[in-house]
Amino acid sequence: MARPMQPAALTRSVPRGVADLLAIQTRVGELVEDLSKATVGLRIGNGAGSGVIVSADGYVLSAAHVTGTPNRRVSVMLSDGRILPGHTLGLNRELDASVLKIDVKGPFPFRRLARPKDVRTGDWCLALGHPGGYQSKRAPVVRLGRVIRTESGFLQTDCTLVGGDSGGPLFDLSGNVIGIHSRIGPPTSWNFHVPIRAYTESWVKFVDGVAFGRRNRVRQPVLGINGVDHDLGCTVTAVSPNLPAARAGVRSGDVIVKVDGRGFEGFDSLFNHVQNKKPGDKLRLSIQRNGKAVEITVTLAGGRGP
Amino acid sequence: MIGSVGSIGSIGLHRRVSVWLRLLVVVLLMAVVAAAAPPARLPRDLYKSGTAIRKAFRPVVVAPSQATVAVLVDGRQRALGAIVGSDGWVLTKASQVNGIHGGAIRCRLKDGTSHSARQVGFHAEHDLVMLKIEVTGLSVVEWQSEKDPTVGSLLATCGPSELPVAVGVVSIRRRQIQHLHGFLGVGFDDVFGGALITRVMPNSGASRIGLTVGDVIIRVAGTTIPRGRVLRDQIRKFRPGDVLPMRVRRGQVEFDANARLGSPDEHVPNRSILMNKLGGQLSFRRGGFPNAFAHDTVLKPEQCGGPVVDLNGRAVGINIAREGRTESHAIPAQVIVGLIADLKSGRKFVAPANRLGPVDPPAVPLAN
Repeated sequence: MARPMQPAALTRSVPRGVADLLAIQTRVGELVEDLSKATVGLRIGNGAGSGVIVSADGYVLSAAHVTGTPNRRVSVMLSDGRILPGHTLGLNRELDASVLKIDVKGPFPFRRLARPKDVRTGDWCLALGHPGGYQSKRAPVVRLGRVIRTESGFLQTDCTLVGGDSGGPLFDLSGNVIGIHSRIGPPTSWNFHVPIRAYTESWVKFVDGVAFGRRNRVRQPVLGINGVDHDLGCTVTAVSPNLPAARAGVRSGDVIVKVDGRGFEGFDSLFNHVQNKKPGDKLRLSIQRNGKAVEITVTLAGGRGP
Repeated sequence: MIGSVGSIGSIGLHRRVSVWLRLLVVVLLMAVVAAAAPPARLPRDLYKSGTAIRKAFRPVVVAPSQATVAVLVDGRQRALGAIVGSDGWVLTKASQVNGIHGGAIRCRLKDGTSHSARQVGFHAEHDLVMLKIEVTGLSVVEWQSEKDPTVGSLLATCGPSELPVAVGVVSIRRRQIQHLHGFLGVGFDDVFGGALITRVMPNSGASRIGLTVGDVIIRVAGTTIPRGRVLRDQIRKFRPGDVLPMRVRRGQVEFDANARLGSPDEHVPNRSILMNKLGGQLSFRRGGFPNAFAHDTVLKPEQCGGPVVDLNGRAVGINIAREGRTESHAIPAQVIVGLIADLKSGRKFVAPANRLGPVDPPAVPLAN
């Protein structure tokens, strides 16, 4: 079966001028209210996050790190101000997926799940959620972006997320749920979502309240900086304390011009270089600091990947 | 009662810390995906604010970019600005160009020329300043002031350039934005008739004016300080960047001092600030706006102050702050239009120190 039919303006890789942009805007405008109604805030113990109602009888998708173990009490905050009781069901720790149920008779406003194979790199998408935590006088916050990467374990978009969004929905421009907000990284384009297949492939387990999947313990190489592109490479904008870059003396404001003796283009390129290393590997950074050349060797640490 | 270094002027923050500690998001710090086969990635120029997408907005910003300037302080871009009068009137974000920096201000137009500017009108609450350059025949911003853009509307942030600086959508309709508390940077203890300084944080407003352990703050902004709590409440009425006048007793001597308050995020690292700074610097003044809508355009602090336009090229507001990882704030055009004449006339809306009224007591015990 083909993907749901969409006007060409919504699927072109580059909008052909203002008419296409207007078409995107019109579609987003048509969707926003209904998407907001299905987006909920969650409070679980001392934790808070977001979720999305996906059935009239009140099944809610969220993220495993928000909801935790099965059978916990949840307060579900709807966009109309209602606060309803619910309880957590199953979770997949590996993919950070979870499901819960509202314990009140519906019907509730809900959105359908997209078919996993319909999600493609380049699709326009909308992120809703409660950044910073649910606020009763603020509707779910809307962000537009594109699918940057589709992997079996996660989706990446440039819909900016922050704490409190976790568990909230990522929608396609048909208004179907294509992902659930999970994690972020330093650049604003590092927003990671649980792919919808995590839910569709194991739906029965979730409903049965099964906790499954192991948190990924594979250690990934960590440098510990944030940066922006620079003509010569990248500029370090932040150095995380107690991580390798900080320990080796990399400073905010440094311009990294070479890695292991080779030039590179931009922060993403540096990231890809690190990606191909292992924890414990050494990285030689050629840095310009206040007009002086500085050479720093960093030993990469290990951490958890997206 | 015992105050602490972190507590002064940052109570709201403490409360936020407690909330934030409960918000469970895994923050990746340069962590990395499995180094398997390179996955199909969207090319960077196709990202929402990538070059190819911004090119689609080119017709939208043809006119408004003529009415946008780069505001330079001592030769560096500190903000963008909106031309609101053809004879050289430019509106921009006040805290980016005055006070903190205090250098020579110039406006660079789209034609590349740059002109010396003087400050005329000022509005503290909205953080706006009216600049005047001696040029005539300029293009002016055309406002869409009848109604605010609806949530989901596409917006382009103009620069004095062919393509928009960045694009986004309206995320939150207009509302009041709470202010950040100013931060003096002292720890204090109660003594009879004042607040005894027990700690001074390096690089804080207090350390810059030379306050030292043992000094007693006895009056702040005209209010006598009988005990520490009163000092804290007074500081909380001010914002980062505000100047706090105070009277200090050191031994047998009393003297007056003016401390410029800092921002708590410079001094009290916490998870909220860490996460919100993932992706770039935030505006120093990013709260305390009576009216602003939020959009998801990723801006730098020096890209605020200029017009943000709808798909008709009409300005729906002035970008006033980079607030967090997910949000930039804009003051709606309707509000701006109502201020222009007053600000051109040179009025200075300097809000009184007690403008913010009573503040709630802290929700959590103070640290230490």
